[in-house]
Amino acid sequence: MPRRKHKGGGRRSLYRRLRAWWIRLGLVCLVILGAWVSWIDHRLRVQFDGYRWSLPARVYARPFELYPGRPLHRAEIIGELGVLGYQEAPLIRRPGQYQQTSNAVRLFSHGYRFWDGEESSRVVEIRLHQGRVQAIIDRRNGTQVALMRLEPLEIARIYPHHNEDRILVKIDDVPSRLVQGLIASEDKSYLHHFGIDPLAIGRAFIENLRAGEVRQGGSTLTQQLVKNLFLSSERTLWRKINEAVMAVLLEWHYSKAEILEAYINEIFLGQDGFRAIHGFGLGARFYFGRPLRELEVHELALLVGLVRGASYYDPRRHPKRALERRNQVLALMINRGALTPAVGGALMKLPLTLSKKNRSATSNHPAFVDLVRRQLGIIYDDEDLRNEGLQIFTTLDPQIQRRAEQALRVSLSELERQRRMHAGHLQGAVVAAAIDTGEVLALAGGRDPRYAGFNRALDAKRPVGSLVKPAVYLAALSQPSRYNLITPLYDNPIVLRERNRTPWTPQNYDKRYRGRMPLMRALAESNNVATVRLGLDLGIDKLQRTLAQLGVSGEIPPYPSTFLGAIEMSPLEVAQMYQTLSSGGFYSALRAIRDVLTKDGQPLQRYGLTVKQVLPAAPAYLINHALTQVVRSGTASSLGAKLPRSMPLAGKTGTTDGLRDSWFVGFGSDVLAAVWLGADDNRPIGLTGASGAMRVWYEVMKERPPAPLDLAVPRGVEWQWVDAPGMARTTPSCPGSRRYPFITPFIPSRHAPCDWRQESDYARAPREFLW
Amino acid sequence: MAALVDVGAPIQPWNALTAAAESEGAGISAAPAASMVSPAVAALLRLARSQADAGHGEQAAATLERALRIEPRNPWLWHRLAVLRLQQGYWDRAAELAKKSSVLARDHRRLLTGNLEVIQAARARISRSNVE
Repeated sequence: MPRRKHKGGGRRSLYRRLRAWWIRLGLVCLVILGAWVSWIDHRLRVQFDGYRWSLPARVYARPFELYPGRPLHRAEIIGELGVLGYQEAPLIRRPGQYQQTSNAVRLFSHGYRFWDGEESSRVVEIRLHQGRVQAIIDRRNGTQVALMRLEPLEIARIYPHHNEDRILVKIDDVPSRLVQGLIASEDKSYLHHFGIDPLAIGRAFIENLRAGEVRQGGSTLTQQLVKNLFLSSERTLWRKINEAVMAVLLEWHYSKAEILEAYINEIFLGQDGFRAIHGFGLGARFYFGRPLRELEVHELALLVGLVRGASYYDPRRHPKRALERRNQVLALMINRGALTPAVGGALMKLPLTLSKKNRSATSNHPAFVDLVRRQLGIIYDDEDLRNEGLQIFTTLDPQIQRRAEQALRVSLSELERQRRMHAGHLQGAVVAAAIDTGEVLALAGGRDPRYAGFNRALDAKRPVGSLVKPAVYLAALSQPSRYNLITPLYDNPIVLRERNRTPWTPQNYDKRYRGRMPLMRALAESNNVATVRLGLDLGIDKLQRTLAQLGVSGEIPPYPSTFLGAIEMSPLEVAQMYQTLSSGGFYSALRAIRDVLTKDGQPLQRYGLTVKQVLPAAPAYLINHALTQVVRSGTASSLGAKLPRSMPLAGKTGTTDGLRDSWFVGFGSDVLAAVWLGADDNRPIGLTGASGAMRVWYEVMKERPPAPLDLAVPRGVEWQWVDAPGMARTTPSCPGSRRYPFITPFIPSRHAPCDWRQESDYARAPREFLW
Repeated sequence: MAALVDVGAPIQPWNALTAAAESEGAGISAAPAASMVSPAVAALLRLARSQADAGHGEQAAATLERALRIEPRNPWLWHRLAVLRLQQGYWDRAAELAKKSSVLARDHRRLLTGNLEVIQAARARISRSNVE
């Protein structure tokens, strides 16, 4: 017995020992499990709380302003509405639609939040009359609208490195039909489960067993979110367990609304080239071109259907499949009671209403966006630009930009054909800017507007040729006691001898000499010899100083050839120089950005308007007047001939040695544009400023020319009738007398009778100059 | 208006300037007659004033710049922006904007005087801050 007892006791102690081991093991496991869960819990909360959607920066063009009196052709407003995705409709029912009548355009605008305030959505009638907006009538209350602006066109995005794109939406702004659709289609018990849905898992298990393959996941919305946010997509049991635990924990800590909001912003809804479309906010834009809140039920149902397989059900590639899937979702909504069978049935009969797909390029105008990025890069680092969802409002005028791109493309091919160059030899760049504010309106960096490589507008530094001459003449006119517009200059042979350099004989373009001529004529005809003589009289230091004042920042070579433009500048720098000139001597740094908002629309930064008077107004006025003569009767007269006489414009041609560079800058009172043509390998192109760049300029500007140059006569300037060769005052009735502006008090003092004409005493100018 | 020239006196606030502007024949900042500006610019001037009154100086500046894009050669708008910048303490900017206004103002006496006063006030502030 004792033995037995002993035996039995031994068994019991073994059992006890085993049990103790088991308990210990269990405890250890529990501790490990607890530690694991709490670690997951901790990580989950940190990640979810701190989760920040990386949002690409969005770059916008200037908004289109509408106000009575604005010059506006119907084609311009229709073009603008077109690129903004407005659709013409027989009846305007929702934002984003427009309608045309014989003398007006009616539209329902989207509201928009700008830096300086909210622009509300409205229904207006824009009455057009003789190329202008006659009136804008609010169709809801019949009142006149003083001004309004359309939402700005998005021109580019600066993406996160993983190329995810989304537009965040708040759960309160999500249409309830979308939520109903999602629940009906993806997770029927979402509002009641605790993260996982054992019944759904059971159903899926049975279904999969029956089918012999994995058909249903049984995943809840919460599980899908956890998987997308935190886990890899591998299909292992371990990941499944992780997912379930995390889903339960997520539900424990966060409300159903918070989880749903995250889901709605995270879910993958399509691929657009390299760009991944995430979230319903962007999905609505991508497929329908409208904000989520404006979508109708069948459109929401289509988006919900994409959750199951965005590429399989891609409505643009597989419209039939997508339509069937949409109708399945609608049917599920009817089953759930979210739609009445009658309404749901009617919706099922509707066709797909997709918008046209926008170009998927990162940027539609890479050369301009390049300038934007360089100007932003001064303040923001690359990561912030890519991830923080900044909204960047630029100065781009898409209509001028489009014309600039088109002009380069078409005119360059045409020139190549006419001049028998091989195709692709010519390159070019265009910069257009608003004169008084320094805003860059358009910028093209080459013939191919989508090419994001070498940006000639910013980086091609080329000799500017005669474009430098206005600076030489400005330096002269800044000494009004010595020079005015009729001061005689001398165009006769000259040899320049510099130490250690071969003698240089500057010549005119046509190799002829014209003798004595008034200063203004020498500039208008772009006379080289007279300009070099004038420059030598002034001294190179005066030109250097004047160029620096005009905003030319590079080094200016101290040689006489600089007077003829042996100085390299990019088209943007040229535009800057002429901005200062054309604005009457007020330098405004050329800007491509107006303001920057955070992703929530909070103002972050403004690039306000600044001006700095760098030149006295009087000589600047004289130079601008002289530049109108370039177009009227000088080297750009073929342009002047195409313009109505009543529309004075100013401009300057530039051509470099061997016809390698062809330049033209032209301006009215509001807009200037600088055009460069040349070859990337610097070989001759056989074009002068007038035969090349000026033609492109005209193509850019002909549809909507700059406002006529109406120069405000500044104080200290007086117009006077004079006999230019005689340097004497006359009366208007005298033959040959003309009016010129002079800087007071330096007006010719001598009066001359009409028949008086001094014998042209050809003052002998020195023939040689020792530099 | 000698007060503005005297550097010790406070800079005239926006509303005093515009109030003066609206009472006929008064003050340095007398506004253009209603017929001289378009309804769009008039609306923006009103908006800018209410923004400035509410203490949103930068928004007011943005609104004035919007008006300047519509009428870039309107000297009144440049003057208004100059006065606003002066109130914000951007002396350099204010003076330059006033110069721009003056070049465009041709022979408009009141505007020229107003701009001169902005320039003098700005210069006085600049030289005072240099001394301090």
